[in-house]
Amino acid sequence: MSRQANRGTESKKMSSELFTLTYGALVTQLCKDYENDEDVNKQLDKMGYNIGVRLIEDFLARSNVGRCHDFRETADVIAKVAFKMYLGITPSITNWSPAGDEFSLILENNPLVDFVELPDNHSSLIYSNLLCGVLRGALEMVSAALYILGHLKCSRGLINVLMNKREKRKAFRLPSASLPKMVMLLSIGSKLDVSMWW
Amino acid sequence: MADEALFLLLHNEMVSGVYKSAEQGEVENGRCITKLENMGFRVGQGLIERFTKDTARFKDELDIMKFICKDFWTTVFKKQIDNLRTNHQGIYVLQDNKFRLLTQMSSGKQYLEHASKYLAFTCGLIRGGLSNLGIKSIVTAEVSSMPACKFQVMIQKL
Repeated sequence: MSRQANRGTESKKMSSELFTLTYGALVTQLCKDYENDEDVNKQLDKMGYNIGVRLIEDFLARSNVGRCHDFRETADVIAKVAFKMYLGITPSITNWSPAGDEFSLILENNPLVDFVELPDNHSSLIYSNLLCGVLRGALEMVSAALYILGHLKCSRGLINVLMNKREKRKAFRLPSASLPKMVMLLSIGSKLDVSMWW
Repeated sequence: MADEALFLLLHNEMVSGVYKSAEQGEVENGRCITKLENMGFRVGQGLIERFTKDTARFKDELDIMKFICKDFWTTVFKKQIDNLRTNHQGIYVLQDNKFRLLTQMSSGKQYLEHASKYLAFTCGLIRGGLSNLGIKSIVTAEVSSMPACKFQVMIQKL
């Protein structure tokens, strides 16, 4: 009886555990398949990209977010709507560059790294690199190509999650040459809109 | 629910990733299935551990299977198994009439031959879950008309 009673409330949390564990299994498998960490990072990014280009449709269909007018708004939407919706967290946005074309997202409690401990011989593995790929793919679908540099990292030698000790961030950078125009174009809107702008 | 889309996409990527890497190297379907199955196994082990933390002790094998069909399935796929059958000699057949990982490619028969790729992970999931509950098993899946599918669990007696 108690078993049944417990279920309802935990179901949402559990599903994020499913995702976390599945992702863990995937990374483990990739580490077995590829010799060095760089290749694993690359592969994760590629997979993330493929997810991102599909996920954006789901996002637009469900979030009711309209076109963004500048990059700051884009950043807000990513952090407060998208991350909230899919991972249940709200990363903080910092490190704005003076030009407003670059910022960092800091994930204080990254659900992907729950239950994760990286062994010493994988020091250059960027465990959550998938997220960078997802963002890259998703943003590419709605705006211009962005460079997303991944610095998402699990620190080594920690058992389970130590939330605040780890710093995970991503930096977005726009190609500087076409900046003024690009900023206008950065929109979380439909792809059609954007191509018309171009 | 939002997590679900993410999981589905990740699963798709896993399947295509495993098969793509096989294209470059060894071209053996069995190896890919095993890989996916092993990933599922690990996840199943972890999930069931988290999941049965606060539950009462299971009475018997059937009780465990019911748990897998109801609670476990609901957590992972947002629905219960539609039909559970057993011969009471260690074989269980779990039938899902609208299996979540197949629904998106289920209109028409075009992708029927690819269906097994998308079931391997789940077979592992069941096997891993059962293994952590102390039941050694072999899990196979079969599809005749998508999105329905059947998982056959053969319990290995110790």
